[in-house]
Amino acid sequence: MKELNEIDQLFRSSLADYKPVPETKSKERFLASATGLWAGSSGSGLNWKYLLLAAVLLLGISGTLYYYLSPGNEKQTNLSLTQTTNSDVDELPAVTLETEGADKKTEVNNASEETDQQNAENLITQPEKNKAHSQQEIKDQNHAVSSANNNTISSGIETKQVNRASLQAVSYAEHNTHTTLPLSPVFRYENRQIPDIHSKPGNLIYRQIPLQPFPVTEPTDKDYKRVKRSSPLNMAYSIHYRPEFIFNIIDNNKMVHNFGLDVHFKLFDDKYIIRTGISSSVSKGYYEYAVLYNEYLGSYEGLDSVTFQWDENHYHLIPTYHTSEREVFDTAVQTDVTKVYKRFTYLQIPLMLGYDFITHKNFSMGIRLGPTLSVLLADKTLSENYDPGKHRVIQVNQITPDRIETNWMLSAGVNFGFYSKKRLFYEIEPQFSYYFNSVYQKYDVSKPPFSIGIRFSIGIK
Amino acid sequence: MGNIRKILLSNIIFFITFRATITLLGVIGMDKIEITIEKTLIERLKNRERDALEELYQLYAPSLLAVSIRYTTNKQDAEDVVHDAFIKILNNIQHFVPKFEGAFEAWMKRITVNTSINFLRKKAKLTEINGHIYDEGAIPDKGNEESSEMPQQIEPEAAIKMIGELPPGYRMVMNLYVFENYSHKEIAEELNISVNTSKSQLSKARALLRKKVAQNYKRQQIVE
Repeated sequence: MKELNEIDQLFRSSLADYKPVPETKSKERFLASATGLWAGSSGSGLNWKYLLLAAVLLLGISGTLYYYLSPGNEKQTNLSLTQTTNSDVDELPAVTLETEGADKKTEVNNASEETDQQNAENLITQPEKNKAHSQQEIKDQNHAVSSANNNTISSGIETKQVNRASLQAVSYAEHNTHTTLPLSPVFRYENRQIPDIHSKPGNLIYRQIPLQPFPVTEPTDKDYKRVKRSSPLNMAYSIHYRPEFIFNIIDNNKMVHNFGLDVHFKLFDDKYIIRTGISSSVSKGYYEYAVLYNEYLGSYEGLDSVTFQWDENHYHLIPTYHTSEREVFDTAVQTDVTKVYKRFTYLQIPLMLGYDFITHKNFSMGIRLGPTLSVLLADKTLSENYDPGKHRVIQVNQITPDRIETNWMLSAGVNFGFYSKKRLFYEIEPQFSYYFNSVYQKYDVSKPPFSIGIRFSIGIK
Repeated sequence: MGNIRKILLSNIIFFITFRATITLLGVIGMDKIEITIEKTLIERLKNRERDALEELYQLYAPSLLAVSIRYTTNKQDAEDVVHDAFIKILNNIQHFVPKFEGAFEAWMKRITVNTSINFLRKKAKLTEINGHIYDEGAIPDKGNEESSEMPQQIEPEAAIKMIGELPPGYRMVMNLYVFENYSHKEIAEELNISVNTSKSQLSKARALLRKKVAQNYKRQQIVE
């Protein structure tokens, strides 16, 4: 047992009920610090988990798309087309052939594939080659296709390649009919045979498919305009909407809405993109104020002055009391915390640089990275102002600091573009943004914010 | 075979009765009988409710300030210490589980004491507590202590002032021993000093305080 002597007991008893009242400023300081602390660390572990999950998802999606859409995997896509063709012609009579060695097939298919690719590339990039050369190419193409067919029929292998060649030839022919070459309707594959993929290996069944001649039309002015407009200009315009969740801010409302106009410049074979424009960012949130006031206790009629007048007989002095209402307030200063709902509108100017890893006719995928400048345009108080009632307001201190007027952020995202047959295109772009400085004027209140968002856009090219 | 059946049956009946009782208690709220205002406040703080912050400050700031002001020499420093202590409390509130009534306040006071000691360490370089920085001659003789007249009670502000006038080392030991109920061994561990030093510091602190109290008492008597 501890020994407490007389002096210990004296001080202990003297301070037993001692509870000094802290200063009001200390309370405000604590509330501001605590709010900033909670805002700065609000579920930070959870946020990182979400970010990690989002990154894994993005990687997974990107990897999958890259695998299926990369040029090396086109065969699989074309295989499905071949299968569809075969299933459509089930009712046709079948021819049975036996398989031979696999030596010939590689050479034939490679030769056929190379020829196809070469021709297709030449024709797509240079649609206005001279007529004689093109006709020669078509003849070569037909020859290549026919020989490939013949070889395949004789060997009975790798039917996918043959069909791919024929499909590319078809595409090539269509392309030319729309641009420069008026083809004659001799382009016909009759008695072309396609194997039945449902047959057992080593005993392939071929069926005859009568093919129709390709429609041949003369190129119109509209076609020329389309070609001229779509390829060399390399500019596009879009509008976008980007909801964004911002973290490390004091406001409870973390949702920010961004919408604006973009201009896209595509360089170097449409692989490199510069995107800029103008957008508006709208965020709303509650801002807290500490109001110091003296409590209203009541009122009384206070005497201002007394005047005296003689009565009629001049015998008595009659007093007249002049009073006014006096309000009484408590001397103790009390604090009330009030919230004001505000809306901040920022003007944003992004400069995003991008690179597309995958550029297909209908789809593209790439990364975007770049800074964005935000300038505060307007702030508006949406809620009603604080009503102190009859209390006497001494001071109003802002707990949540004001927003900063100029801010820089760095945004990065993965862009998925989808292109329609016409000039429209759609983009989805999950983004991560890091603010270089706090969005508040008092930097020590919270850490630099970061945000995650997704950008939806629709545009014309 | 029959016995096993009986045992099984009785166990099943017991289990069902037990579960039903627990469920019933849960329905009528009796299982939460131990939840006090303190626990509710802790839960609200864990849920980061803004109003809970104000309640926390209003409820506990005065008592924590009373603790810190005994260590620091002025109110402003004491309020700084309380502010830092509250921040530490909020940082660690997620891990705090109240085990008995009043544990929350005791925990907060402990944090405040540690924060105060750290504050004084920074300010007064308490590593020199074992050194000879104190004026030994200022300590009165034992004989004077016995003969001094002592009042029954002194004003809290006067008591705080007297404690504040003690050298930092004395003040710390005095506070920890008298008000925080630390033993000399605990004080020695906390302040990284020897037990004998702790005892010596306490003795000297008592002597100084006795002298101050006596002087103050005499002054009051003269005034009266």
